Amino acid sequence: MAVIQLSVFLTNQPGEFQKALDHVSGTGAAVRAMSIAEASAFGILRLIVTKPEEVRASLLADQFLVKRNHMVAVQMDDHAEALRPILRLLSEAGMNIEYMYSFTGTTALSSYVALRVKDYKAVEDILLQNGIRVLNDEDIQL
Amino acid sequence: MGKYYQPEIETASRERILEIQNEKIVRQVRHVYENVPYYRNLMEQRGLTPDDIRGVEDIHKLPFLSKADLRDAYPYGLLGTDLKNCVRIQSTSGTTGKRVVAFYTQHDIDLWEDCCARAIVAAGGTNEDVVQVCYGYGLFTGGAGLHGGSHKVGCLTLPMSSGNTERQIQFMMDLGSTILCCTPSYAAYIGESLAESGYKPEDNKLKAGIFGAEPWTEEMRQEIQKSLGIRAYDIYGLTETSGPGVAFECEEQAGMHINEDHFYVEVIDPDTGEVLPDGEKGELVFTSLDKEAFPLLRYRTKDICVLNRKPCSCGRTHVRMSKPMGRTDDMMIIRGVNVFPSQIEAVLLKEGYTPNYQIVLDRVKHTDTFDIYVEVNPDQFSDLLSQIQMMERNLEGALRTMLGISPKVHLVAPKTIARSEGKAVRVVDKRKLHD
Repeated sequence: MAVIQLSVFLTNQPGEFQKALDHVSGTGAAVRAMSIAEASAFGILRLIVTKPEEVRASLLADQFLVKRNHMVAVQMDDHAEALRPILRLLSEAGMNIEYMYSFTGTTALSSYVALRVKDYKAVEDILLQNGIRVLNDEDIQL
Repeated sequence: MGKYYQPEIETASRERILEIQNEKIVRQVRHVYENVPYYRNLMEQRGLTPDDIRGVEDIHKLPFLSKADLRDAYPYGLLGTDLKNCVRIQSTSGTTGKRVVAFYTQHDIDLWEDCCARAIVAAGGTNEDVVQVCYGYGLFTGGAGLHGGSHKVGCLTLPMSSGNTERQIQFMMDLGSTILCCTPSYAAYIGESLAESGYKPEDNKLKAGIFGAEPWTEEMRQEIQKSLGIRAYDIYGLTETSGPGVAFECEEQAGMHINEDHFYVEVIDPDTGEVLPDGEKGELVFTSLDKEAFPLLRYRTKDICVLNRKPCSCGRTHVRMSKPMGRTDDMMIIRGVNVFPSQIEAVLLKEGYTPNYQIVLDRVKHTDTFDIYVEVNPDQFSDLLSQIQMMERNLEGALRTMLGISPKVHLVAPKTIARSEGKAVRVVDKRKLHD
C-alpha cells in the first residue's frame, strides 16, 4: 500500500527545477502530484510520479540528491467537511502529520490528499479499518 | 598632560633609541636563552649563544618563531619565568590547536599598558577624558589593553565590553564619552545607530576613536569620522606580542608608530626569510625587547606591511608601519576574530559533512557577514524541511563553539560548490579591503 514519493534537493538557483523535471519527462513518466518546500538557499521538490524507480535512477545519475519515502494517499469526497473524519481518526490515534498536499485524479472532481506521517502503515491501517480508501502504487499508474 | 605620554622616549633621537635597543636585546636574548629551553634549543641548533648577540645588528642571526612553534610549545613551552611570577594570561579565540596563550608578569602588564596609554595620548587623550572601551573584555587583549592604558592616562574609564549597542549609546550620551575604543566596524555601526536614533554627529561629545583588531580602509575612516564627528586612529597589536599598542597612529594619521623601545621590528621576504630594506613590502617580524613572561624573539606575524622611517611631523621618532596589506597565510579576520579555514574544515568533518564548503565574506552596513555554504551529506538528506534546517542550526552551533563567532550555514546540493582546477574555492572575500 501507500504511494512512493521522491524528494529532490534543489539548490536555489534559476534552472534547477526545470533540470529536475526533465528527468520525469525524459523517462516518459507523468507527474501525479507535486509540491515544493522552500528555504533560503535550497528547496525540496516532492514528486509523486508514475515511474518512481526510473525517475529516481535518472535523477541520481545526474548527481541529484533524491530520497524515497512512502506517502499515505487518501481519496477525498468532494464536500467541505471531507478532511474532518481523517484528521479526527489520526488525532484520536495520537498521530502527527509532518506535512501534506492535495492533488486531483484522472476522473472528474476526484481529489486526494498525500500525507507524510511517521508510520505510514499504522496510519493506513486506521484509515482502512474505518472504511477510508487509500491509494497504492498501482492506482497511481492509471 | 602634553602631547606625548612618555615624551623622553617617544621623541628620543634615533641614536638614543638604538642605544636602548642594543642594551635591551642583549639582556632579552640572555633571559630567553637561560629560561626558555625551547628557544635555547633553536639557538643551539644554529650554534648560537647569547654572546653572539651584541646588539640589534645581530638579531638577523636568531631563529624565527612562528605560530607553529607556539602550537608545539603550548601552553608553557615559551614561558620565560616561573608561573608564580605571572599575574595574567590573555588568549586568542579559536581552536585548541590554534589558540595562543600569552603570559604576563606585572612588569609585562605595565609596559603593555604604557603602550596603550601612548596611543590614547596620541589620540588627544588626557586625564579629563572619558574613555568608552567597547572592545571585548575577557581573554581577548582588546578590552584589557585599552582599559589599562586608559587608567594609566587617568581617564575616566567605561568598561563597556562589546555588544548591546543601545546601552553603549545611552552611556555615551549620558556620561559624555570623549574617546571611543572598539573595532572599526563596531564604530561604524554605532555611528549608524546614533543616526537612526535621531542624533546628529555634533550631539555626542566624542572627539577621537582608537580602532583596531581588524583591517580597515581609508574610506571607512572617512565614514566613521563623519558619522561620529571624531578623528579615527588605528592601533595595531597581537596577543603574541602582548596585545594592542605595539603600534599606534598619531595626529598625522599616516602610519602607526611602532613602540621601538619595547619591540624591534623587521620586514622579511616571507619565502626566503631575508630581511628586506625599508620601504619594501614584506612580512612583519617582532622581537620583544624587555618582556619577562612571554618574550618572543623574531616572531613572524604573517601580516604584510611596509615600514616608513621618514621623520613624522608629530615629533615622534619611532618608525611607522603601514596598515597591514594582507596575510601570508589563509587567516581571515571576521568581526575582529581570527578564523582559519582549517578550523571550519575540522568542524565539518567532525559533524559528518564532506570538507566541501565555501566561505563568503562581505560587509553589509559596516558589519562583516559570514556565510558558509556546505554540501549536504546524502546520508543525512531528508524530505522534511525542519530536519534540514535543524542540521543547519546544529552546524552553526558547532562552528560558533569552535570559532567564537556565528556564521550563517547554508546547505547546498552535493558537488555544487564551485571548483577551480579541481580544487574548491574556499574563501570568497567580497569586503574589498585593499582597493
